[in-house]
Amino acid sequence: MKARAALMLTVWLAAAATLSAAPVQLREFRRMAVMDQGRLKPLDTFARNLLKQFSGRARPEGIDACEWLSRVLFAPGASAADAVFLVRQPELLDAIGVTNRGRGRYTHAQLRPGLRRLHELAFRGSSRDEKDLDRVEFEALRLFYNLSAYHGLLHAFAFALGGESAAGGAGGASSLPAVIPLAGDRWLSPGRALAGGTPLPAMVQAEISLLATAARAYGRNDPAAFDRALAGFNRSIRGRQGPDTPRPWKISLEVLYNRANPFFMAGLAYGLALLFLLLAMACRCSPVTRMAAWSVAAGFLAHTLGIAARMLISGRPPVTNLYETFVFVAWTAAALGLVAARLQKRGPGLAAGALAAAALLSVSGRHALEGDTMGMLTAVLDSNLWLATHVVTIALGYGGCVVAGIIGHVLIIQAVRGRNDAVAGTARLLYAVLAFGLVFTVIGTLMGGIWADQSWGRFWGWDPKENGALLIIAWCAALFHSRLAGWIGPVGLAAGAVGSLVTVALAWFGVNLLGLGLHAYGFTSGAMRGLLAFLAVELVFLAVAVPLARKRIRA
Amino acid sequence: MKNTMRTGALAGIGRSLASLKLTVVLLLLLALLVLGGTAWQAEHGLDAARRDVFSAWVFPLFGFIPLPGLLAAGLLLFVNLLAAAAFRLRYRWRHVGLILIHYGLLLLIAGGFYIALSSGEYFLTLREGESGSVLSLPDGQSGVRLPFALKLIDFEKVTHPGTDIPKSFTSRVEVIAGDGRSRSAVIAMNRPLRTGGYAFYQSSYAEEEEGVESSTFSVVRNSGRWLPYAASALLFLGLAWHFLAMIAVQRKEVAPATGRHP
Repeated sequence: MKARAALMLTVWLAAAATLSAAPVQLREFRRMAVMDQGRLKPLDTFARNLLKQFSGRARPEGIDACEWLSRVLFAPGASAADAVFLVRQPELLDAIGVTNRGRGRYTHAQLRPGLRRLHELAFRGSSRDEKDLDRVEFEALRLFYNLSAYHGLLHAFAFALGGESAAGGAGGASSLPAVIPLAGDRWLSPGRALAGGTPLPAMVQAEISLLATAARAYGRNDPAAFDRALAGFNRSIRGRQGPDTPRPWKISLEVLYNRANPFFMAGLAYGLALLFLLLAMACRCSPVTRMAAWSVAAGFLAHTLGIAARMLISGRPPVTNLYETFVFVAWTAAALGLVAARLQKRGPGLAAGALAAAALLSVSGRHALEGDTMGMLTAVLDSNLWLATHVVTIALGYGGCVVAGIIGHVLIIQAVRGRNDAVAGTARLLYAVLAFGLVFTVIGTLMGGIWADQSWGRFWGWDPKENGALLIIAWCAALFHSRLAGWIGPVGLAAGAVGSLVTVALAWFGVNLLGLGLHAYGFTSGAMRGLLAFLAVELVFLAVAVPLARKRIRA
Repeated sequence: MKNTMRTGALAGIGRSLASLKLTVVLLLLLALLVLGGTAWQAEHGLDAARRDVFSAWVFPLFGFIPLPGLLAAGLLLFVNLLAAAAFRLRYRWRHVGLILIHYGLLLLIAGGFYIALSSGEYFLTLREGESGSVLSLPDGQSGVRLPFALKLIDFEKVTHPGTDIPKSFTSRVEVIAGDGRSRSAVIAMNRPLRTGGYAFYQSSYAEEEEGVESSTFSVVRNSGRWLPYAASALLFLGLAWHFLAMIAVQRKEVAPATGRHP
């Protein structure tokens, strides 16, 4: 058994390493510390976020973010052929007179003829309220913003490479990598530091000239010299004394985290486990089921390491924004699946946990840009104690309810297929998981009340998110009491668990979609349609399957 | 003879009040009110939702169908719980968790009613250098005069480097007692000032002309503040006990037996 686990791990690690092999000469470039969005991070993360912002993808057409950024910064001409600018509304291309090849990623060279008209469109749009803009105008603003950031980057090293400097230009100045620490916690891009007017300390001048050396080495296509100059630069920055000195281990850990992509790996492992489980259903062979369990375990390990790495890097509890709620609830679901698999070898717990975890991780990918970047927290949330207790507990409760909802589906299907023997076991598991969800939701809600009382002087204020938690609690409590009263049997409890999945969805996203209250983080347009579609599908499922299931189970 | 008949009738009423089915109906009503009240809030704002649903005895659906408001639902749940505590809960050692949970809920609902009836919520806005002792009500009217005065010395907003994301809001104030003695204090996010039965919370700020800032505090007077804490403690204890007991049973058969409610 142990040997198999070790083999599994090795295979995963090897796969992770191969999938993400990167060119050696950018080693020091990736590890440069940059102040961005209020946080010191490796240039690797900066490049990835920027590329994701431009293109909507982490690796569009296999482009490595750091390779791309190095091209933009040090070989500006070469980057015009990179297809990195995502255009979501192709009508915009007609409006600015660029050949319309449909929705997709365009190169700067392709967009160049339309820049002037894009500028006009964006300028008109920027003077109006964001809510009044139509799709195309909004897209014009977005694309224009990305292109100005790009133009800023093109000229960031003009001081070393010659040509016009961007330091004075407005547009993309804020997206320039701030890699030079100056007195008083201020980090600036080298061009801005030089343009500041005040004479720079000798150490800073030396650092900037190292950057210039690197930039010229890149142009000469001399990777060794490029790496050497940046190594010297990084050594010098690390050697500075002060509260803002980047911690080398944090930078290295974040680069490793970026490269290992642990949540993607975990999602893959959960998906693989689901495939194994389907196979096991077809062939009724237990070794395949065991492989599924090991696959979930391997995914869970990657998942756990990923969460731990984020906690170490950001110095925060695991859940601080919408993206992280997906990741953490998925983790809870996987953990519940593994525990359930130990308790009930043939039960649906493992499948339910793996399915919930895989689905939630895949949804989390869409919210990555808003939350994956480990941004800073606004003042009201700045309390590690309550983030660590209230938020984490609530997320555990959500996880329990989500897994219970999926087990509920399984139970109803088992009943429809007339498998009364399986239904009894599934009902016991469902009861336990739903109880787990209720207990943690209640505890988390009470802790939230205490936090609210400590911070705002009221235990309860009918904030929509509080209402959402109360909705889950009232619904689950109603379920348990109706079962005690004999009003519902296993199928009724299962249908109710599906309902609790719906209440969780409402509490989790409905509140964010309403966009009001203290918890209105992470608004996502288009998610409303997804939520409504989800509600409709579940309603149809219950309306069709539950009467059938009740008939079969009585028979 | 007559006496026992009367107790029998009372117990009968008590038992029907303790009914599990009533519990289910009330919990579903609670869920419905919470859902409807939140939708109402999205449409008409929090104050309207409080007036019409969350702090209402009756909610007129479509203007004429009277539904119980949240206060009525809360009161009914309280009665149901009380009757359950008297007639339905079985006082055995293995049910300690459930007993604590239900008593905790009783205390939570009672505390909620007490706080709703007795506490006051006000606002106080001060400019830097200004002192004040008259609290205003949420609708802007002046409400209560404090037995002491508060003087805003300085307000400071700190952002994360290179961003507009606020890192902290801090107000340095002076509490000036009636006899003229004063002490300085700090009010910040997640760090209220409690004095003389009032609690001051950093609520918002504004930048006024010539770099002078003003700071707004929400001020709460709440003598029942400890009630939800006590209720939470009971609930927490009960849930933890019940959960651990459940895990102990779990090890034998993956779920508690479907036995009767205690």
